Amino acid sequence: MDTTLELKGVSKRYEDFSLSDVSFSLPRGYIMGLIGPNGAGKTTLVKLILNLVRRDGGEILAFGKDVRDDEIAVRSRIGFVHEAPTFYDHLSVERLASVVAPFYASWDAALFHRLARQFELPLKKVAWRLSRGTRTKLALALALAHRAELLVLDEPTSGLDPVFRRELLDHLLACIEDGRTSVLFSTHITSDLDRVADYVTFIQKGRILFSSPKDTLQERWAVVKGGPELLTDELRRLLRGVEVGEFGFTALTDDVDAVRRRLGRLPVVIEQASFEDVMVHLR
Amino acid sequence: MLKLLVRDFRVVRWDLWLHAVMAIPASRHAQALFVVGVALAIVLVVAVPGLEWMFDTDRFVCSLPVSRATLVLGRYLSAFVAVALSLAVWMGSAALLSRRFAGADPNLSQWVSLDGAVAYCVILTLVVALFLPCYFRYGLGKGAAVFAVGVMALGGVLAGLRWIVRAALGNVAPDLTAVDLDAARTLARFIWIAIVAAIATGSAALSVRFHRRREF
Repeated sequence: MDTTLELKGVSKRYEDFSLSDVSFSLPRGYIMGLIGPNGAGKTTLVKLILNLVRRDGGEILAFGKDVRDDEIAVRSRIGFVHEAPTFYDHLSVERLASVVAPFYASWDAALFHRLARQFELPLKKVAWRLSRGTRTKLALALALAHRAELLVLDEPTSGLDPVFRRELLDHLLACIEDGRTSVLFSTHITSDLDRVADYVTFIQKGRILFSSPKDTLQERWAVVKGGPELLTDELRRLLRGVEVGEFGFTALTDDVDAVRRRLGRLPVVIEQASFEDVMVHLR
Repeated sequence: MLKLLVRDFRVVRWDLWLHAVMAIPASRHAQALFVVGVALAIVLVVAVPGLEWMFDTDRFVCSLPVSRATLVLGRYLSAFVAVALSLAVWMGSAALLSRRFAGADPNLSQWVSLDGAVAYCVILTLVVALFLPCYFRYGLGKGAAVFAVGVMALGGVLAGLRWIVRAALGNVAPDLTAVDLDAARTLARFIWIAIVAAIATGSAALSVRFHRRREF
């Protein structure tokens, strides 16, 4: 399988935070969701991929090329949408497109206009008068109009109303239909992943906890609920993120068979974990 | 780099009109017209960084397929083209006003000369060469403050040097009878241009280094 993006042992140190040994890969033609709580390192990771911050170690390859050594070639094939997109706000949508277009050899003006119609972008309106959702759509149109092969979106759905959010996610699904475009988007809204992601990478405190196909993850993790008397030390060893309440415990496990063997016919509930369960229990 | 230049002028094309409009009231005093010309050129040079700072577009610009070095050199190119355009507008308006505008300062035509143009370019090139490294190192807000402190410090150093030279040579009366003044003037122009070009080149190299170290 062709790989669009590959990170190998990437690290970045700040005074109060560090990313350590980040490795994952995104196959061509798929959508990967990068999830994690606020401050987990998602935005730093996105910036590293775009070479907006310098990495301290490791390797980041996009289309088989190092994003630092082949910066221009790589960036010309990447489309970037930030959580709060910034533009020259005093320019109209149309003029902004004309400012961005010359930087991309593959810019397709007809495609931009088609996307503008589809996204209902007001071409004559100055950027500062656009709503938060419309700005995100404009950023997406600018990213798509140069026929980007990798879309990198940093929390694109954050702060959008549900209608806009669904529309945006549907656009992402439409993007990968050609089989050549891949999407990496960071989010802490787990329902976005359920809707569009093929792969999920979970980052927490600067470390990757897992990165695998969505279906595998959903098969792997389960939520275990039971009475407090069942929570022995032996059982605890099979569980993660145990939360004990007045009426019982809730925890996550990635070894359902072992838990079943251990608990036998005892009254427990074992159910498939949602991404939210995984995020909450692994935080 | 040309793309960056075109982008910059698409973003701030309004400033050149200001030159022409401001030239008329300022033309009553030749020096005022010079100062207005220089000030508006500085506005033109600072306008794009100012807009980028105001709209926080650094991340957007740095995500375009352009190297950091090209971004910096593009900004220098834009600045020098801005200076050249301002010079053309200023010289043009000064020349026109000195002939056509009855209220214009009679000394105005003196500024419309090679020396006037060299003085204009030297001042603005120094401003660009000092301002842009501060901007690329610290961003606009902090960079402008560092630039202002730097200019004041430089002014102090130059004033001090002038005082020392005067104190040392105070009683020496130069004998200018043997000097070909035209040749000396030409030489002085070349020396000024060479010094300023060297400063601008050093400044650009420093800015590239600073900008490569910045993270967005």
